[in-house]
Amino acid sequence: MKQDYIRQVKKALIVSGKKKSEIVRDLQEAFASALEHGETEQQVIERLGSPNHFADSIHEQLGINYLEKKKRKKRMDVAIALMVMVISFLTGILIRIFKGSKDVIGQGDALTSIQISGTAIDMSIPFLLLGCVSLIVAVILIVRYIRHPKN
Amino acid sequence: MDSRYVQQFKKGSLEMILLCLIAKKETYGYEIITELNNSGAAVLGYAKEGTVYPILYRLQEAELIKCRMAASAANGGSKKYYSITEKGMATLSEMVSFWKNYTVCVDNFISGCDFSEVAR
Repeated sequence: MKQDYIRQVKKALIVSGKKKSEIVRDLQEAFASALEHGETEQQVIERLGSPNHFADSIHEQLGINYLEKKKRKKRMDVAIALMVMVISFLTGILIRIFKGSKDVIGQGDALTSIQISGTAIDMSIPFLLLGCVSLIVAVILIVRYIRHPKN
Repeated sequence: MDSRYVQQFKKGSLEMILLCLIAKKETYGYEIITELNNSGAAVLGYAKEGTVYPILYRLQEAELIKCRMAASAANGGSKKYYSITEKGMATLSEMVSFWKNYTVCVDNFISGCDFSEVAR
């Protein structure tokens, strides 16, 4: 319960790594001190408030414009998803284009009757799939971004 | 009373109260919470780690308090002891003198307000 709480606070915090480990240490002390005085973990968690709320009050006190930071992070996520999408689609399409037609071998000018059989994986498929997945992710992120005016 | 008003009132004063507690003696998180609850709970409501820790971080960031770590025999871990800095002491005395003027000023307004008139 305590570890779970601390993990969630860690996730919600947008402070430097150093500050984060300091806060985690303090939380551990808070739990330890309370336990020492016969309190339960549950009581401490109630006083701390929800992990998100606790993290947010730290941001507020430290003057971190966390809304702006969160917003920036969300925009960054969308940008990354879009970039992955573009790169995957491009790679997939390029592989398709340069694969050549089915019956042409090497630099052959004309069709040959030689068949290549084998189970080589069509490498364009995973790229195109990845492109589709990142497109979906990007759309979900954009919808979420727009739906929360507070963000 | 609407808890939002209490929140607003507390917001400005809690920092000063914490500085005062730390100025009195070197202390640590749980002790601060306990002292706040022993003498202020009736009016301020129960102090919470969730409120106090973030303020301590700010006071530390502003170099008004400093901390040192000490091994804690009881829980096998370590305890962070806070003490006030010179800058903190100067700020606290400014805060307190402002607070005194402030309460006099606010009291003047309150005493000049006729509640029976307002109620009608």
